[in-house]
Parts: sequence; structure tokens; C-alpha cells
Amino acid sequence: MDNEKIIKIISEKLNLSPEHSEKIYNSFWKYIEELLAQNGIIEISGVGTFSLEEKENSKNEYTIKFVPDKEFVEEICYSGDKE
Amino acid sequence: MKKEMSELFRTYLIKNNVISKKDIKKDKDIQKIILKAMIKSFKGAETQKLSDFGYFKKTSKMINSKVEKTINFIPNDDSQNKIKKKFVIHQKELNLVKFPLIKIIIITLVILLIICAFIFGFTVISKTINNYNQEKQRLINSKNKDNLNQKDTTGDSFSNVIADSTSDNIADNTADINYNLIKTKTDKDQTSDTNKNQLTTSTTQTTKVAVKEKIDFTDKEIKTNENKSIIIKTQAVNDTKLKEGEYSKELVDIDGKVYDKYIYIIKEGDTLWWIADKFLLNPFLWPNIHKDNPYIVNPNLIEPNYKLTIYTQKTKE
Repeated sequence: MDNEKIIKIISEKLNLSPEHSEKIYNSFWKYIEELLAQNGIIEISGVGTFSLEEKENSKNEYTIKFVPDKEFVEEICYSGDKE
Repeated sequence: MKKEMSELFRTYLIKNNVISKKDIKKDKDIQKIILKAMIKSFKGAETQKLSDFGYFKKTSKMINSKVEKTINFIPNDDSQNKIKKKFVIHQKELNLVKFPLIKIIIITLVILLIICAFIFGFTVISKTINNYNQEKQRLINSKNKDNLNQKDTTGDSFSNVIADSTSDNIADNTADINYNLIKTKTDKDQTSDTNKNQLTTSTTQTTKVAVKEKIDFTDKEIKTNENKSIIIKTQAVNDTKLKEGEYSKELVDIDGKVYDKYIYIIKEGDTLWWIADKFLLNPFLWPNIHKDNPYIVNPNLIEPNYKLTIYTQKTKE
């Protein structure tokens, strides 16, 4: 579950050190967090939509919901099957 | 839109000093590279960590006896709480920005409503008071008129109607000084047993009724009702032929009791105390003189040349 593979790919593509790449990767999800906190919803193209939904019968209590894009599910869950 | 987000992310990185403009060429889409790397990594695993945000997890569920694969997101508790707090604060800020104008309008309306209610209430109350006073005045006037008529027509005893004059001849006096005084007794007499010169301390209402034809209506001291049927002279200035310090004396009958009635003209340096001592033989009875001369507003301040009416019980001569 670690991010080694991702960091490696990013550093290769951007010609940056792994540390720098890890910082960029972490910053990306931090950025998503900030957008979600600001707007209550954020759509990442090719991945899915994160949103804050108010819990039933409780005001100001929210949970983060994720609805994956169909193409993301296909890519992750079924691409191996097709191959 | 998608491109915009990518560009915004680049700006975010630069702003937070994660990268410099020189580090990465502008044509490179950082967001796209990250997502592709994440998908590639996630393909070969059951879960995928998304930094401190949480992680993706592959799951399967049965729908119509068919296995459907999907991806769940499990948020990091700390991250989720942080986002929730920020979101709530942001919403409150948004509400504050949105609603102040409405709040101001509502508050202004409420204030205006309260002011209107006050003005309306004040108008209604003052109108009611005014009406009440007018009605009261009307009743008093009609009552006075009735009393006067009654006195005139029934020829009531002299004890109730006393002509005020400086001479012995009432008829002559009427012609001379332009008006008669009609004294109507309104309260019961109060007598004091402590003094040998028991005095009548009756609170009396003095009404001066003048002969219409001879009245100077421009005189500020003359008050009349609408049809000038009731005429009141409001101040007891010296309208007799007496000089300051002089007095006249006559007998009057009030409710069967005989009194000496003095008309005294106040002279410079006089006090009610001194006058009470002189006429009532007891300076402490000065309030009686004050009561019989209601025009005196401040008993400590009496004006020279003003007329005082003083009653004493008839002394045996």
C-alpha cells in the first residue's frame, strides 16, 4: 500500500528526485482535500467524484463519499480480465 | 475545466514552494502524470494509499447474482475531521457573506416597525388624553354653568352666594368694578378648636363672574369658555380702591355661620406668616389664607398690591 511505485513513476516522468516527487504527490492529495473542504465536492477526471454528505438526522456532521468514474473502475478492476 | 484544474494545481505547487517554475516545463501536466502513476500502481494491488487523504480499496458486490467489482474510498479519520471542520467554517463564512444584507434589512424593518408602533401608540394615547381632557373640561363647564343657573334661578341663600365687593353696596360695587365674585363652597368647612379665633379653612373655589358688556376680553387675566357664558378672572390683583396695606371688612354668612371677610392689599415686605398673625392672630394659620387665595402659586412669594381674601369667624364685639 505504499507509494514507492507512484513516486518512482513521477520522478521518472518529471525528472525530479524521489523526495521531491513524493512531496508533489502528497501535495496533490492535500490540494484535493482543500478543494473538498472549500466546495464540498471535487471531481477528478478519470478517477471519480469526492463529496461531503451530511449524515442523516445530524446537522454539521459529514462523511466523505466517493463515486468512482466508470472508466476508472474498468481500468482498475477489469483491465486485467480483458488482457 | 479539466485543464484549468491542472493549471491551478501547478499554481498551488508553486505558491506553496513545492516546485519552482524552472523545475517543471509548462507543457507537462503534473496532475495527469500523478493520476496515471496512481492508476498504474493501483492496478497491481488491492489497495492504493492516497497520501494522508485515505486509500482506495477494490471491492466486489453481488448484484442480481452477478459479481460487480467496484472501488471504495476509505478516508483517513484525521483528514476527514479536518476537512469537515474546514467545510463547516467555510459554510458559516459564506452564510455571513450572503446574509448580512438580509439581516440588515430585517433589523431595519423591525426598528421601523417599532418606531411606527411607538408613534401610533403615542398619537392614540395623546388623542385619548386630549379627548378625555376636553370631555372633562366640557363637563366642568356645563356643571359650573348649571350651578350658576341654579343659584340665579332658585335664589339660593346668601350663605352660598356671596358678592365680593369693597363697598357695602353690592349693586353699586358691581357697576364700579365690573364684576361680581360668586363664591361657591365646594368642600366642608374645617374648623380648628385649638384657636380661640376658630377659622374657617374651607377650600373654596372662587369664580369671578363679570358683566359681559363691561369686560375687556383682551385682558390676559380674563378667561372665558366658548360662548363666554362663564368668565373667570385668573389673578387677584388689586382691583379695589384700597391702597397697599389697607383692608376692608364685611360680614358674610357661610352655611349659617357668620364670618368676617377681610380684603387686604398686600404691601411691600408682607408675608403670609405676618398677615396670618395680624388677621387670624396665629401666624401658624397662614396655610388657611393660602387656601382661600388659590391664585398664590408660591406662598413664599407674594406680590405687593395684590388682593388677599381672609375669613375669620365673627368675633364678639
